[in-house]
Amino acid sequence: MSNTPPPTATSAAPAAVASAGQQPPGADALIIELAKVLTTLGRTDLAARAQAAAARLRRPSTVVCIVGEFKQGKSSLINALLGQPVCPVDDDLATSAITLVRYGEQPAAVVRRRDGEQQISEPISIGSVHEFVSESGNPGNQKGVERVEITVPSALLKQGLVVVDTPGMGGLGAGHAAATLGFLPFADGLIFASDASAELSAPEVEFLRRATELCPTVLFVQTKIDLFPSWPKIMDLNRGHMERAGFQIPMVSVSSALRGEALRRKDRSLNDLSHVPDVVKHLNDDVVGPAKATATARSVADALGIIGQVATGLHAERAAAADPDAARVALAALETAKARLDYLRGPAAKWNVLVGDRISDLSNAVNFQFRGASRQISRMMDERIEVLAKGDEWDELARYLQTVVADEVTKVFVELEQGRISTRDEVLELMQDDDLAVGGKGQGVATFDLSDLWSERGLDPSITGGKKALGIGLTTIRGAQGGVMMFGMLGSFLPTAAGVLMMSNPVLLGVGALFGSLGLAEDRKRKVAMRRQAARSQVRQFLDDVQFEMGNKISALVRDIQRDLRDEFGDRLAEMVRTCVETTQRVQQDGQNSTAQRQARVAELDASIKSFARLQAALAAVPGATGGGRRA
Amino acid sequence: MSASGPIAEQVLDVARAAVAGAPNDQTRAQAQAVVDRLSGPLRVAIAGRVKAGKSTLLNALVGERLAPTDAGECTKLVSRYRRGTGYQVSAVMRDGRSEQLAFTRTGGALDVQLGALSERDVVMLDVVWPTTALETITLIDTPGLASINDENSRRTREFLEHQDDRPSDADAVIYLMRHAHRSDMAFLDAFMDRSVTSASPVNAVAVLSRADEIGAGRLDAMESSTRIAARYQEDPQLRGLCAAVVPLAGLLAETGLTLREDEVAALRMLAATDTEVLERMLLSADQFCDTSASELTVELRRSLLDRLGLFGVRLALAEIGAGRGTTAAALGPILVQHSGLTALRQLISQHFMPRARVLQARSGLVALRSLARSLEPIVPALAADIDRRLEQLEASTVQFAQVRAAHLVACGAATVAPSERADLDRLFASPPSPANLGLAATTPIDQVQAAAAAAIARWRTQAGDPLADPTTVEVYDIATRVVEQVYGATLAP
Repeated sequence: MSNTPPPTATSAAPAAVASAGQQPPGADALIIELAKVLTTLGRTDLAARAQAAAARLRRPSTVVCIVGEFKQGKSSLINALLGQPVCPVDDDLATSAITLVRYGEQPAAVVRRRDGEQQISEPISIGSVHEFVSESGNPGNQKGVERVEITVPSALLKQGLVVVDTPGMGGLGAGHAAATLGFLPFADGLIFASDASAELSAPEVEFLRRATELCPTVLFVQTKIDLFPSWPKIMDLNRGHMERAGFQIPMVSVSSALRGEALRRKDRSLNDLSHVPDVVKHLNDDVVGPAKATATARSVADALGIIGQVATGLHAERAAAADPDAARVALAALETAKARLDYLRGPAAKWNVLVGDRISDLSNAVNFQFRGASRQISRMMDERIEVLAKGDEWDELARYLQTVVADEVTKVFVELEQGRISTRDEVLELMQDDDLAVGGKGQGVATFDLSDLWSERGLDPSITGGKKALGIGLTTIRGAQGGVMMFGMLGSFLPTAAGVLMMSNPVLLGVGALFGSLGLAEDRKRKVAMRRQAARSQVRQFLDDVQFEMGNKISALVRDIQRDLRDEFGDRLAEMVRTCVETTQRVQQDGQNSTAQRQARVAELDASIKSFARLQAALAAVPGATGGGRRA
Repeated sequence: MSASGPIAEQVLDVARAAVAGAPNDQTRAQAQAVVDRLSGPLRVAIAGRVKAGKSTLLNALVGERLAPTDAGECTKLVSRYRRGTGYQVSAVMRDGRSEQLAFTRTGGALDVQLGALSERDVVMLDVVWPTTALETITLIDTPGLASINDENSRRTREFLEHQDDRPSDADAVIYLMRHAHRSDMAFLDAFMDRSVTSASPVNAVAVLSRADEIGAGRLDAMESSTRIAARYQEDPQLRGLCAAVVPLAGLLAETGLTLREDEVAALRMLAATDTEVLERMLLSADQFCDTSASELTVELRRSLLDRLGLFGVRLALAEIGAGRGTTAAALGPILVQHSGLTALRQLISQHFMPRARVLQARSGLVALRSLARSLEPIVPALAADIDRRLEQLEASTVQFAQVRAAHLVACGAATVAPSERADLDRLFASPPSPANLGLAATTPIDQVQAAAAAAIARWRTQAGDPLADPTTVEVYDIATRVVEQVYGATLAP
């Protein structure tokens, strides 16, 4: 090896690793470096995957819901957190639709609403948001708004945080609580807002109790402390209430108004006094931090898989280049590997069949279970209506109905997600078996390690730290997806379900009014009987609507799950085939070259292998790289 | 006959006759209960969710700090404040006994010692106080609804809501809410959900309390809450439950009425502070009480804030700055004016009390009628006399009908066009007089007659609509009767 190898692309040593003297580079930088190396190798497909992993790591999507009674300053708090007026705020108007605020380079807003059976999504100007999300602009949700999505440039949101403003509980427009509760299981964190004018009320504590069951990471924020001199006392009282109720929730008192004033005056001390930075810190520590840790673990695992695959190819080529006799063996091995992969990609592969079977089983089971639950709810409501006498009892009942239905709807999504995870695990296991059967062993250097595929199997999702939620495995769906799949859910499925619940509300409350105006004693009995009948048919109608809507949603979601699973495995196998084919081509190419050229190539390959090995070691050493907790 | 007083008076006369002629203790006690209720002041309960400002409003209406108020939930027992000759507090026990209690006053507010009594056994605190403010009205302070301490809320519901075995203990309700919350609706609804004799949207008024805070304590906060109150008043759900919605800054009213000269002196000193410093102080409660912000002691500033609220301080400083209200005598009334208390008082005395009186007379009448039935086998002559007088009374007045019609319109049982609503509301608002037609008392007789004739024709035509439902027809019939009485009065010598 007398002549120095020409500086080729493959020898480009990863700069991040090379310069790593003082500070070990983060997973982020390492993966981007990996993507660069992959691009120079011509593997744009793998580079894209690495880039996606890096992006996810930089901006894991984490969802934080702001909840509480209406007029407690929830929208103001969001504006204070973001440091800009995003959500409409008014003395009178209350927020009436769920509003998602996420990062975007340009401020923009999209309203998703429903016109009859159709779902419409249309861009609106930021200035007209209030026409859709407030009681006055959209009384009784006449416009059928399911949700408004706003994107704004904000440092806080840039980390991948999505803030959800929810309609408060208890307003006259009413009944949004169920819709809000439906959202909570999918939130990574929850801010409960209550203003400092009074200690917590009984309904607030009740709501808090339910909310903490659905989403274990909760922050209590006491708002409007600028207005109430006795806020420390109220805070103490609330702390007492929380202790008695058995909640262990961090508490912060803030003044959104002061924060606004501080930003206007650029006054740091006022900003500190507003205590809004404390909320930001809590969000970072309790919500964004853990989400980042999960994302890091997943992205690093992804990157390591890519390295493993490419390195295998490089090793095979190097072996062949160094020894022409070995080339024949290597080519044969590669040929076998490709045949194996082709078989796995083909329609006859068992996993393909399995996905189809499992998914249709899942669809049936979930549908059946939901129908059963609705039926049971319907029966129970009939019984309760029979003993119903007064209007306020009906409202109570209507709320209860919405809550149990929201629970069932939530369960459906949880089950679908769990089904998806278990199907995926099963496929991976099957592939492993398949691989062993088809591939066999002892093929020497060119044995592709398919285990890259199943390295993610059983990735422990409980990054949320073992807090139990609802006992139906909500943690599974929260942590495992690192935002990708969940965002899909949030994006299209859940709001519709929540929308159904919200839509139904005027109808249900209308029945309450029927009961409410029992003014005249004389014909009370007859009227009560009539009203009970009306109430019963309203309940059935409502359950029918929900079932119809959910039936559609379930089939749509199931189709998506199936497609996603097939695409995922298909893409992964395609990558491997490509590695295999390209390696084969290069080995053949090398075989036709002169000895000197081959030696130069070996040196090149050694450099590449070395740099990948370095990257691999650096990634493995990233703190929290295995934080996802792989199970054996 | 045409004033609201006489109706109650006439029923009272019948009740007195019944007391005099009662053949036994039981019937005498029954008749006496009607007498007591009709001759006593109106009983007005102040209700609402926890921390709505009920005790503060009570103090403002009395014009004296009586009910204790606090940042935390404070009122734990139903307390009745009525006028008497001495100062006295007693506990009404569950078994009906009454126990005299010792009390002291801290900063004016009563501090009652229950002594050996358990809160559980006390139904109500009975406070007797010699003040003219309580002459025509007995105020009942109640613990907040939706309290975290369920026991407190239960006491209020028990006191106010309808129980089958006894009528509600209040003649009317002032309901305080900070925003119209669903549980507020449910409560008003429960209060209304009784026989038509005593409960009606016409004897409940809703107050948008702590109105200064709704507008975040800005100087225009009251304008903002006035708009909100107006919107609520038009809300179909609320309209069926209460006669009116008015905004009130209770703390400001209470303090305005009890403002001290030393407090104004302190405010004057503050007003003289450097503008920039002052502006920063007024940003938040904490800034205002910040040790280094002003030469005034922190305790003094803190007490100003407790008495006035941030809105009150901002308002007082603005007024002093503008050269108005530099003394307690001048500033107090300004604060009261801004608080909305004047408007609320006017609503109570002109609209709410006369109607409540009529309703009270009506329930007295119903009670006397059932008494007459039970007297019939024992003293038939007395029973017949009571019956005759009641019938005469009922036939001669349109006031009961007016309240009923107002009720039917308010709760939406009768379907009237929005354009007619204002006219009907005015028609049913007071005993028949030209004012019911929107005419001044000084209007010449011929003009009143012309207007009345036109109105009679209008309502008769409506009542004759073959498609209208019976309830609506009844409302139009009553409207016709009222106008007929207005017309009739012009013919009287």
